[in-house]
Amino acid sequence: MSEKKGTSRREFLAGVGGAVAGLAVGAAVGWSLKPAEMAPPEVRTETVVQTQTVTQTVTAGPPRPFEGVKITALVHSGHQAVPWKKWSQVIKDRWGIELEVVETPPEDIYSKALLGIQASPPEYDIIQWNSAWIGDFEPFIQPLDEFMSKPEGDPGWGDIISGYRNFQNTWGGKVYSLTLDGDTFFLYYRKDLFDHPEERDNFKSQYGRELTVPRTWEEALEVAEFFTRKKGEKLAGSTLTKDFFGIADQLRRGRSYYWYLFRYVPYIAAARNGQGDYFDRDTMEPLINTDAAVEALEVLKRSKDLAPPGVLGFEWDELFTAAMKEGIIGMWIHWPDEGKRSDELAPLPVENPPKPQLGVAMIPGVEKDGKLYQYTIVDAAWVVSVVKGSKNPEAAYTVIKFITGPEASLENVMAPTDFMPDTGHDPYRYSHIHSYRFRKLKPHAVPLLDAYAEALEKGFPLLKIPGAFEYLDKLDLGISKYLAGEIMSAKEALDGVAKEWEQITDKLGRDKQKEFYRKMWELIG
Amino acid sequence: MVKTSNRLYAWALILPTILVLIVVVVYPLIYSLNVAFRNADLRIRLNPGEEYPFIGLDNFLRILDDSRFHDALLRTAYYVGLGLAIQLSAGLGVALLLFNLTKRRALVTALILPSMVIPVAVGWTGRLLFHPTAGPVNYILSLFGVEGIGWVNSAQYSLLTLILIDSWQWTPFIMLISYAGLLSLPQEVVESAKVDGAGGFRLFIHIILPLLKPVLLVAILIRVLEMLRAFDVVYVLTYGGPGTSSEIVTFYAFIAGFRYFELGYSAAMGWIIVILLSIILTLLVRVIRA
Repeated sequence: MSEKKGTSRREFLAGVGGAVAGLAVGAAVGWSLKPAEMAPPEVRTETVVQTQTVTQTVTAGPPRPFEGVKITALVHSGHQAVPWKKWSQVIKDRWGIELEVVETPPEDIYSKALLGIQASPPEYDIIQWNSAWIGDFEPFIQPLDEFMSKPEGDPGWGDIISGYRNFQNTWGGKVYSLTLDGDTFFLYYRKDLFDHPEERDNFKSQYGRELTVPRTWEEALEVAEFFTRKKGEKLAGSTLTKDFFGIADQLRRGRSYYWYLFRYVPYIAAARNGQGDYFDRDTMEPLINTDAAVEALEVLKRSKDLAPPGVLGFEWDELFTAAMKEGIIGMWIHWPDEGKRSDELAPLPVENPPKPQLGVAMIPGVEKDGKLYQYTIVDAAWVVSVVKGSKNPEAAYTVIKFITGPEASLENVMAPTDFMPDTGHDPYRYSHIHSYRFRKLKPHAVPLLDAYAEALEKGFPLLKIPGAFEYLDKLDLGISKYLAGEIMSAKEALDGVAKEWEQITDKLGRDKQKEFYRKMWELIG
Repeated sequence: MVKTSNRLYAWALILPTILVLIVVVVYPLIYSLNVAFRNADLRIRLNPGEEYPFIGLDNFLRILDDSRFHDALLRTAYYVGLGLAIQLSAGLGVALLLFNLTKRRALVTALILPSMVIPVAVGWTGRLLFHPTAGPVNYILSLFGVEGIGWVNSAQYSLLTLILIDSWQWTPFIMLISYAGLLSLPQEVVESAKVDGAGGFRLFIHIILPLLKPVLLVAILIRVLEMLRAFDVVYVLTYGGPGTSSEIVTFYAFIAGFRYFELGYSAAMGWIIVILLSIILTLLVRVIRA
């Protein structure tokens, strides 16, 4: 309902703009970009008249460089497809490009995209894909450097947060993609609890230091242990109506490896003087069963013991529900969603809860010799590329440059708004996190936006060589077996993972894998 | 002459069906068999026109050495065996109760509703029902002093939870088939047994059960086929975990094919499942015929 109303407002604005200025493109841009919530109300009859004006002015405008060119884009179905459809009219109005959007569920994108781009001619001009698959996709996608070097070809490269530029878009020194969805991770904590005077006093008397947001995993475990309490005990000066847990991770089989890597990366970096790695770069021997790796897994196990009893079954929904809807978790690591939806945080489960407040911070790290090793995994996330062999690569590049560019992408990442329904896109540009409009429109997201810049400056890439999914799934299985008690020691679990990793490396070719792994670290700038 | 034209006419009528079967059944089967004999790994880069290398029986031999596959096979046997036992006993029990009720039509309709729910929805419902802290199952158990069962989140109970959910969904199917079988029993045989003094239990064991046997075997056959192909609920509910505690063989084949992209190995696993299914099917059909 609000969507329909919003459209008519934009049409009104666009119509006025077109009539006054007589500029077709200007009218189209105004029609599409002006957020509905900022436009004045109007009546239905006016809307019809103004729509006609837009059509006329567009026709009378300057020639469109790709008039009649059809571009096919394979994209993630559902909410991620929304911006593609929403902007297709603008793309047509500005450049004359007919954008055909082919939707496919995320679990099918790898195989569908890979088969489609291997075909001759390729089935798609543009693909939305996961940056972890670069090792497999590289031969079939077009490096963007040439397009980007042309006049007006810059996609706002310097505006993309460096963590994404380096770890999602760049491969072997070339740019292969543009980020569409800035996934990363943050530590969320109950600020209402951390700020509570009684809790601060109790913590200080128990641990001999101030209660602060943990900077290291040892501190995090202390804080988690302090806050883990049973129903009927006191929390924030009031009686708990439910059990409360200091920390929770998302440990359901499938993606639990992320929550291990949040520990592994700082531990391995601290052990190797700041050089965090998955493999030895010279031999491709796994580092996943080193002492640092084992210590990281033991830290995860200790965290699990302070988490709700069902944490081994926690996927996104379960963690989000326990933390945000039930309010029974003190700290947790998750994607940016909670930060964007912090106004949904439930009160603490006590008789007289304080006003709920969500804190956003960097993921804890490891302190060694006075140096803090603290990282954020830059998730392998959705990016877009131009397919090699596309009949119209310039037009395809124009589309992805626009969709991921500063003006359109701000609307995408601010969604849901009256103008743009939910897209699932998270911020990835400096102009997103510093946007005046974003901060005014979603004041509850400001702590998240503030945390973004710091977090991404300390980004660490997820593994992205051929077979990345298999490596990580074998890691996930080993972790899951250890946490579930199928394997009794962390060392044994990780030795098993290392053995599996060696087998995958041999299967896919050690030298080739070594080459890919080195490419993964060849960054721009 | 007439006979020949009749035969041609008959062929013309069944030809479309045969063609459709060839396209949608025979061709995919042959294709997957071909893939099972190749190193069909999506991550291997092929030159234009090149095919995935033929590796003979390597994929099948690898299965013989794959302990993860063997464990998954054992878990599948447990899943099918226990699930079938629960569904048969409960389904037949409810059918007998219904048979003895006078007003039962609405009840029958209500009871078969779970089998109409799509598996993905069943999986999600299961995640909510068996949620360890917020789920109603643990809440009800806590009223009786039973606390903290992890269900899908514990290696100990995850497979059992899958079995319980499958039983919740498919017991009504066994119930429906058994109930239909009971309705079609020759009443004169049952009445004669009663006249001869057969009581409830003896009547059930010696008369009703043997008469129901063909019907029940068909139900078992259908359920075994379905359970051996179970996937959706596992995917949604446990993803095979924690660890590999609920990883059944179809799910492992899925992981190999669509997560590790080893289509050849996955196809070989699929063929092993087909062979096992065929053996079970043949045995069951023989029992039914006997």
